[in-house]
Amino acid sequence: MDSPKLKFIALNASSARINPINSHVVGNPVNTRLESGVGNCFPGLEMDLRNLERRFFPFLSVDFIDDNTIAVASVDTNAVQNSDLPQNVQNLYQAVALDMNGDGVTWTVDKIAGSFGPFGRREITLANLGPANAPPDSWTAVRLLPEGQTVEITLGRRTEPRAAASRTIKLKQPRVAYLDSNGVFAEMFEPGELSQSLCSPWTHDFRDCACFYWASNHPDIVQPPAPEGREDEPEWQLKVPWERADRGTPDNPSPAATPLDPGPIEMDHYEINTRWQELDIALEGREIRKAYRPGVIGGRPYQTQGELESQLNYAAGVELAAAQVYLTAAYSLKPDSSLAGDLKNDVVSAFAELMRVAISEMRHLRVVNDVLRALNDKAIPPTPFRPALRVAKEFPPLSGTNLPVVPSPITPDVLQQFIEIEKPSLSVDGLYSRILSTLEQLGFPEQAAAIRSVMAEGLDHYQTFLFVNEWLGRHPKPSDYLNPARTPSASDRLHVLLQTKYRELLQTLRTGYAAGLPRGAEDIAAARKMMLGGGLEDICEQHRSSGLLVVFKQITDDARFSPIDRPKDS
Amino acid sequence: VTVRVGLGEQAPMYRAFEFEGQTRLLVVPYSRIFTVEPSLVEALAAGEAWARQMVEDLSQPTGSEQSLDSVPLPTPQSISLNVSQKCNLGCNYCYAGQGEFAGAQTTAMSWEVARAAVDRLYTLADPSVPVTIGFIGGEPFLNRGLIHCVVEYAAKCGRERGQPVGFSVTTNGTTLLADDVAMLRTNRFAVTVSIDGGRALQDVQRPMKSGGSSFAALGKSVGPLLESPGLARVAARATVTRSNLQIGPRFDDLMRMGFPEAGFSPVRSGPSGDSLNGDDWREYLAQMIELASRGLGAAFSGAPLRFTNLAIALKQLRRGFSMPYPCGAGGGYFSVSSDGAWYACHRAIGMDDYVMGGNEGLDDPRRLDFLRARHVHSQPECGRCWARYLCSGGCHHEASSRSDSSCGFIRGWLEYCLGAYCAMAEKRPDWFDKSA
Repeated sequence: MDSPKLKFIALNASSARINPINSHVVGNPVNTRLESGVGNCFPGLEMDLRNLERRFFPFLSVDFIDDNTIAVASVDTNAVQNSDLPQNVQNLYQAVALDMNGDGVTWTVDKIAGSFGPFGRREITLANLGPANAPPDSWTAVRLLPEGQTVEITLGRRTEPRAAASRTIKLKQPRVAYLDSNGVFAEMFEPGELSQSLCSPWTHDFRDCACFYWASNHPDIVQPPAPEGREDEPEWQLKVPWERADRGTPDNPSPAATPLDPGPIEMDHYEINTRWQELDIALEGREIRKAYRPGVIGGRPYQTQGELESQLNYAAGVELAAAQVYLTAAYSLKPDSSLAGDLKNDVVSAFAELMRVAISEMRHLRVVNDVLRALNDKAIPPTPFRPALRVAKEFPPLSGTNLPVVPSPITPDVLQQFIEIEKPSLSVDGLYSRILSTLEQLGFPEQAAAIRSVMAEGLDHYQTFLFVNEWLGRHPKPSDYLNPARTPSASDRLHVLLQTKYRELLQTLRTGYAAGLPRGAEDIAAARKMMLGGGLEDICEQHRSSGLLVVFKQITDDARFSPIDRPKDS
Repeated sequence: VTVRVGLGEQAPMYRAFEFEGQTRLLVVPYSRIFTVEPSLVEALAAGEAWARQMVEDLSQPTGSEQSLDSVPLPTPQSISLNVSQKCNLGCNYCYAGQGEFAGAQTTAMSWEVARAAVDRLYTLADPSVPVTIGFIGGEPFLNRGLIHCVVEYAAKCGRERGQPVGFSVTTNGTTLLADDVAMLRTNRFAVTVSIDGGRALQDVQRPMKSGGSSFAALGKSVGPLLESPGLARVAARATVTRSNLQIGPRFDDLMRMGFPEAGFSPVRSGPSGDSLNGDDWREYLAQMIELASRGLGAAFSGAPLRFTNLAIALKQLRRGFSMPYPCGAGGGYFSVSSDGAWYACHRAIGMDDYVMGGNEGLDDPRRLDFLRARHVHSQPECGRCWARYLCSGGCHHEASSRSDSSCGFIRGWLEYCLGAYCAMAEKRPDWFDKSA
């Protein structure tokens, strides 16, 4: 019988080093990754920060009505009663509480005396905020008050807005702290209070906030709902703003987005609050108004498990090759220290994204090896697992055209080729779709899921390269962003060092893969470390500063790492 | 060439135990401790292949862990110098015959021999790791001039080489003078004071040859150090004989004297009739557990753990202590006799098969033979014991006194410590950080 998934809690240092749970976990779901969290990109979206200030004064909650108005929303009379406040102060609170219930009566904070950060200690009159040398608005004023320091507020009673106060009350208390000593929001906040103003702005926010960070089912730009079976026709391949006011009909998709300014065709701020239910759910980039049916993966299964394994070996080689050529491309960009302005921003972004994609290919290499191991383990009788670490000689062909693996600087042509390689349903994606259907047919659901995620990330690579193309495309002369670099010769010290370190890396990785988890974890971690910091990363950076292209030479004297041919397709 | 000593097939690889209603598992190699589901232990008991495989996987070395089969030959980092062959006390159970080792060591160590030993240690040691120099005897402070010279010289060598040096001394604590105390305070000294308990017991078990009270002499001599230890770390170590297995009251006596911690060692072998045997061990275990439980209860409320045996066991379990050797004898540690011979162990002065070399150098093939023979895998009865990498077979010198009942004590004590460890890890995790 298979080992069941068991609970293991490590209790000492040596048990923590070898967590047996590792051996059962194939991978984390995408939604656990850091980059998936909205709050990670836009900290603060977990709550509306302004709600903190509602409780800045003990026993009161207030509403920030506008830049010059803070209204008392409630008085916590129970807490007042149970407090140590002198009776005369308690009476003041109680008086406001009782009076607030009267028809048309409002109590507002008219003046605040306290320490306002850069504006110093002073008394401000809220009606007169705005001029220089004072906090610009009521919320900022309160925000500036340091926690724990004494604040005196003057409350005014009115039955007519903007009239003179018919009665005033002064209260003097320390400004409330929002966090307790454990860093947890103080219990004074009611459930939902901190996020209450987000509800409406949640839909509202789609209108104004920065693009492209919403959850994938609420994108900014989508394809309209298409009639059954006609999705591929050009008129249904249009891009439209998800928030368009004219929702159109399935037969009549609304106008295409103008990405620079979709404003005029979108619902306005108020409208979106009343028509939010018309916004469609989007799946796989297209709005949907009927029950979702997952698409059929079109890949033709391979005929035997042997064929599948040889294709997986090749797929691992493709990932390695892709990681290599993307690294070459990344380090062919000028170092950002030599650039300035928009060019610098574009090159820095392009470099970061190329590195991210290269690292993602390295993760795929691991996934493919894990899949291979699972196939070997489950074979009857089990077959030995040999780590797949041979670099592919060529990428899967594109419409019959061969794509040899050639390390090159990232010229527009080369970038175009990257886009083609990662394009959905073509080259690499085509290879994986056949692997996927074979795995599904052979009954490897976990491994199929892993390959699905590899394919999903391929789609992300494709989109990323489109962005890189947009950024670098703004600079018509490639020499503006390309580092003047020569191809290294066999005697270049750095080049030789790179090959040595790269081979060590492969060997360590192989040891780790061969041992499997948990035994190999240490080696896999070591391999990862060899790439970072003073390791390969540093050597690549030195190539760049010495005007050398980063080139990984083919290894020909070690069958475990020698280049691998593309297997013949059945 | 790595020398390996294999493990027999019937060696237990795990030990399951219950603590506070939860099933816990000690994986014997590398002493990995887990909370697990009872079903795993049931499957192990039923001999299910997947469960056995799981324990097998967990028994493999990971990271920097060394194979437990191998016979290592580490660089010497620590020596003890038998500076004195005499003692002013006349304890019956003394393994050293008051320092003369039955006539094997008849003169005190000379400065030339001591300096040559220190020089040799620095030559052989790994310069990136601290060295330790210990003083032993007889009563080391009967040759106090030599100790002062060696400390000064070794500290100077250490400074010149940029290599930290620590010192240790085992003393009966009855002859310290003010300048001895000053030296202990100003150097990194681990001071072990041999004292068996309160006045009555101490004076009976550790009589002064002159007829006076060793308890009184000790209090006067060690008192100032206990009051103000400076850099020194002072601990009491009491020897337990079969005539008095009560340890709780003595522990309290030692605490009252101002020792920050105290530990106990039972007599296992030696010339007198003091060695524990048979049922003594069961009684001694009960005593140890009683004292430990008391200390543990106090520790839960924030008190320090002052019972050395327990504190050390807990720290070792925290790390996952797992060694094929009980000590550094012949590996990283040697004891230099007054004639400059390097013995594997300070208890074996005068025993030829423990001589590993001398001030002129070490005989590595001899060391390897010594270590291979004493590897825990080479001890047939240890190969069947789950405690083999925690106890590691016990003191080489006392190996011949190993018996079912003495081993039963070790297992019983470790079983208790495993539970105590789980409790401490849960209730006072901060203790491990503080005492790291």
